[in-house]
Amino acid sequence: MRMRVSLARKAMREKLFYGILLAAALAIVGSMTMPVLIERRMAQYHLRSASYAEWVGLQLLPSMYSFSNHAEVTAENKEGNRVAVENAYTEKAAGRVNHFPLRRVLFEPVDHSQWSDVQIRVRSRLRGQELSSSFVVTHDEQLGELLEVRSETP
Amino acid sequence: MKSAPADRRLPTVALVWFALVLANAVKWQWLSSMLMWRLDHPVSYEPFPGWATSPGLAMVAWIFPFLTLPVWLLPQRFLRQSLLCVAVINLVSALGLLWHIQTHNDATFTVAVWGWLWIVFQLSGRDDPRPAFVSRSALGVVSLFFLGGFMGKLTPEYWTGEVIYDIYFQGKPEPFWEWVRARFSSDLLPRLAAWFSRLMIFTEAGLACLVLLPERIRILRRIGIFTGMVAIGMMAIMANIQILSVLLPLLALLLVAWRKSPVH
Repeated sequence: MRMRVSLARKAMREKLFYGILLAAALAIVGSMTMPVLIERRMAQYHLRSASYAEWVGLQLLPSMYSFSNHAEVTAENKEGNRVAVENAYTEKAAGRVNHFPLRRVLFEPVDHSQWSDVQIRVRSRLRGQELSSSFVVTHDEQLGELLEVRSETP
Repeated sequence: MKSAPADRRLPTVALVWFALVLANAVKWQWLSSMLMWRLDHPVSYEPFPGWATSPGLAMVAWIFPFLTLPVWLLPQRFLRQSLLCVAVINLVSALGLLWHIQTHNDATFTVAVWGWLWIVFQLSGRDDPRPAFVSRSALGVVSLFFLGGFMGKLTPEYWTGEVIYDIYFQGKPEPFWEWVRARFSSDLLPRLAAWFSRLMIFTEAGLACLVLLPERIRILRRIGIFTGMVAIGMMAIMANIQILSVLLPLLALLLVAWRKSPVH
């Protein structure tokens, strides 16, 4: 009897894990083939999901090197001219990024003593569908760096 | 007093467990400097809750798996239950990093979430899981990971090689890519990038299908898993050392699938 219960539990555990894998696989395929969901996936990459809960759910789906992503960082220098800010790694101000294009301002230090009104424009594409977003990074003595959506196009 | 019998699933779990911790260690240089710097310059982003932008919390979540290693030294009697508890906490840590503004982009933590979830399922339950489940579930995680990458590359920019040309052939400073730029003419590089990109797409498609390998056809299963290991090894050579944080746990899962394959 105990053995039968143990086998039933084992089978349930296996089914549950396979079920989770299958659900994730279907979510990946669906979200990369249906235009309305592709839009949500690109919004996820731009940290612009409808809610944090939606973003959290989409983050569970593996997506290394997805979409064609482009990022460009510009800022105003001390003379008040808008100039391109180079990527410390590739030494380019604008260019393709493998995934999550906002990394250009989230992981690279922005020198606020040199620059003001730092802006990042990001664009993602998948089979002709496109999403563009523009963000501004400001410096606050108390709060640190503030990232805000400045303009967005569907 | 008789000592408790050794749990046969532990060597398998240990392989993936240590690969996941090693993956965290690979990120040491980059993540420690970035998070240390961010402690003084945190990012605020209105749609994210406070904890998901706190650099200190990301630091704790990243360091936590290292601190849990001594749990492996506990006596056999409590080992499985203790490992299960710690694996659940490590899973929560990995989720925290995946949902954090400073670490959300890193595929290391996507693999970590799925890897720790796999470990939790292997350790839950008093009896050893069936070898067929151990093997197929490990292949399932590897396949899921590459399915995500494959589906995201089904776009003309990858088929023509534009993305790969920009990111790898022009952008990567690593020795392999320096050699490619020096060896081939600049006219040839875009064409090479196109073929390299297509090879990536087909390789990821193949790796996404690993879970479908039939259990009964021994030779096909072994060839499939071995080819998967070679493909992952090639990816490691072509990228930088950081990619090991993603590839090591996947390689460990393939080794588990090979070892626990029902044909053994």
